[in-house]
Amino acid sequence: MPTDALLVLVVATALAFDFTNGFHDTANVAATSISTRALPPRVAVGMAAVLNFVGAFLSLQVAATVAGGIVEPGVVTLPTVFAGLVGAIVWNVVTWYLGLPSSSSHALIGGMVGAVLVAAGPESVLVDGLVGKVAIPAVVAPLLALLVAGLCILIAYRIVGRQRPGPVARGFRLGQVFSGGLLALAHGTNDAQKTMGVIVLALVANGDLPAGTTEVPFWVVVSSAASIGLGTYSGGWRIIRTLGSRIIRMDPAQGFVAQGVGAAVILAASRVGFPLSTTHVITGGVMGAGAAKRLSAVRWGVAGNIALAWVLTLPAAAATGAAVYAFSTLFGSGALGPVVIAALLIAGLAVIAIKRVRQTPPAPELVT
Amino acid sequence: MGTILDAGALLEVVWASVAAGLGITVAASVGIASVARAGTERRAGRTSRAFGWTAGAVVAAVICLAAVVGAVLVMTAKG
Repeated sequence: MPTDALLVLVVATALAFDFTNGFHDTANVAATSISTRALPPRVAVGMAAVLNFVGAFLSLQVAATVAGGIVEPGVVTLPTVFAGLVGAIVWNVVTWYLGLPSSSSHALIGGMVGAVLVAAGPESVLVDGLVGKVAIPAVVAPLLALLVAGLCILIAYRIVGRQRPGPVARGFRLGQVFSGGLLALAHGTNDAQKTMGVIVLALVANGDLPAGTTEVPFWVVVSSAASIGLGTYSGGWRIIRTLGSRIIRMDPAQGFVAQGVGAAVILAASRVGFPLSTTHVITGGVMGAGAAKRLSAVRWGVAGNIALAWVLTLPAAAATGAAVYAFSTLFGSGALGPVVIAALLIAGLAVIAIKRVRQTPPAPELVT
Repeated sequence: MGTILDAGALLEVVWASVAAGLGITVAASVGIASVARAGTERRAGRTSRAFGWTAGAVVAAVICLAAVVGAVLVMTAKG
């Protein structure tokens, strides 16, 4: 019975992480459409939410290997999964508060690594996996998107350069509806699967599903899709502002190219199973579309802060995951520790929410 | 290094990203430029030229829609 309580807590925390994942990554799919006026803010966010929800159903290749190949599978238990999720949620909330786009996947991996380090020692962490699945993709994703977006925007300007600006801007705005839609679908497919994978992992660890299962219970699919959709609809406006207008002042052609190239890179990576972060790809695309027009068009100070957040994601989430695991063990091996931590987390989030309500309501004017 | 990183997969991601990114950008840009040019020709009374540019825009739009469908197929093929 105590393990069932822990399982319920882990599932609820996984769905909370999924919510913050959607909330945090709304900017990836909606910021460029909003800043170029391709879509009104609420419509852009609503469309992103619906397509994220739908995207979660498109593919059920379970990311049962969230952290698979990165930590020894035998040491993953419900308390380590819980601690890893809390580490990821905390980092997502911190980076949202600072308005910095960062990878939720890397935060989750970091949280798991930290928890496993404390639970089972350093030999349980597979350094090769960390390098191959986190470090190298973190360098490749933004660079690839930056270079391809830079090349594409130069070609786009060359093709439409002599035409009247009005129809050209309208055309690219229309294109953004489709490129933004594709991004949202791809995001839902990639990111909701992470949560499904975590929940399946927890069900296996609790003995509710056989080890090595590839079957995802329907309630897991629906709840993960709903959480990421709701999170997306809640809209992380701080990050939307950063991605939509603080890195570069975007025109519709740049917005289209950033989204189109972002979708192309994400889908190319998905097809061969190469783990790229959607956040890194889109941010790189936005920078590339701006830098190719004029290097000084990119606010490199903001870009530097974002890069710093990317570097810190894994160690910061790992430190939080480790601290959460260590703290929860003070209450024994049952559900009491996680219950206390969940209560503290909810209290912390409530304080932030109350502070936000007391501040000026978010005004999503992001137009260039 | 070979076990740490699948170089073949990385190479495939790079070329597929470049090809898909360039393809969709060129198709959309040509389509948009064609629509703009068709409008200019129509206003100038050159209807046959306007028709030609409109046809070009339609072809570009079909390519873009095919790319969208292809992208959704890639997503569904994952699992």
